[in-house]
Amino acid sequence: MNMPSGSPTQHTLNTPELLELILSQLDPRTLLTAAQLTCRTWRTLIQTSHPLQEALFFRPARAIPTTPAPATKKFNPLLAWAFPGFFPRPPGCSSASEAAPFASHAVFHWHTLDFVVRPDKCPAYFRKEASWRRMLVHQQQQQHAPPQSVGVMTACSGISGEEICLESWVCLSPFFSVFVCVCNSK
Amino acid sequence: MSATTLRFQSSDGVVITIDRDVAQRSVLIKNLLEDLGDTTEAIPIPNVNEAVLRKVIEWCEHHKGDPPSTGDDDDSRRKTTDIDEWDQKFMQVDQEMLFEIILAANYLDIKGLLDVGCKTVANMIKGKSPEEIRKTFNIQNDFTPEEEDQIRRENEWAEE
Repeated sequence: MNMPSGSPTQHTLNTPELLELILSQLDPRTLLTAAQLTCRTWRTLIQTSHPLQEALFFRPARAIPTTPAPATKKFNPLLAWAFPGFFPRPPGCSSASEAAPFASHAVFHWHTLDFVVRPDKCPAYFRKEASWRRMLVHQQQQQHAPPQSVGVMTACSGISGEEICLESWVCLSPFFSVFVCVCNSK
Repeated sequence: MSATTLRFQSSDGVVITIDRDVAQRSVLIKNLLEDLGDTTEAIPIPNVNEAVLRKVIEWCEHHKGDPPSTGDDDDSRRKTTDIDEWDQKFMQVDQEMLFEIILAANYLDIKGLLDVGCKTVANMIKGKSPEEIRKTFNIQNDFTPEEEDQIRRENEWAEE
């Protein structure tokens, strides 16, 4: 068996299985931004690989029959960073963390949202093609049921109590649209 | 009773003697030995040269007490790029050697070493702009300006 020609670097990065292993070690922000802009090969792999799409919360995690479902949901760290007010915080922690066990409710503070802190980023958030709109709020291995449909009414009733229930949420985008409408009408 | 040492021949013809339990960190070798039974012949490793093979052996010797890899993907699901201190030092090699180690670990099926190699490359990517990543790994930017702009527009919200 002969090695294909080219340097070991090229050979490794041109082997999709190895490139996938390398990219799967990246944090979600680097994977979403810099890695996708590197070249077509990287972009296509990130868009088509199931594990990488899972890592970016674009696809639900596949059920692994041999492992029991995790006791806690894994929240999307990028959405938790961009929209911290929508995400529950573990007790005693100052920021939302992906690994810690969560309470199911968050106390909402408008001023913590990234586009409120950074108004220059509003266009990036509000444009139709912004990728956060397609992201799942949390990953939980789907053992039996398919992802729940989004319940707009449940969320609206949550706003009045200053507590937002993310339990039944799949994507933030539809909820966010309603939320902005409600806030504007007040 | 199986021999306690085995002989391997690198792609550049050098014969190296290795403890059997060290060599069996490689799933490829382990399966090969199960098929082959006892052998005194030098086993050819056609894809790995002496320098890389010696690095791989050094890693296997250091990690010979580790629990054997179960082959499932559970630990790769942990998104940590933490690398143990010894491994970090071990991976302080030039870039071509780093990728040679990754290719050898993949060929010889040594999951732990492959993970450490991939994590090391991931750490080289982190914090770099797309242009710096391309420069580091000698990658051509083959996007049209329109494609590049579209991808940037989708993900600009996530930039710090």
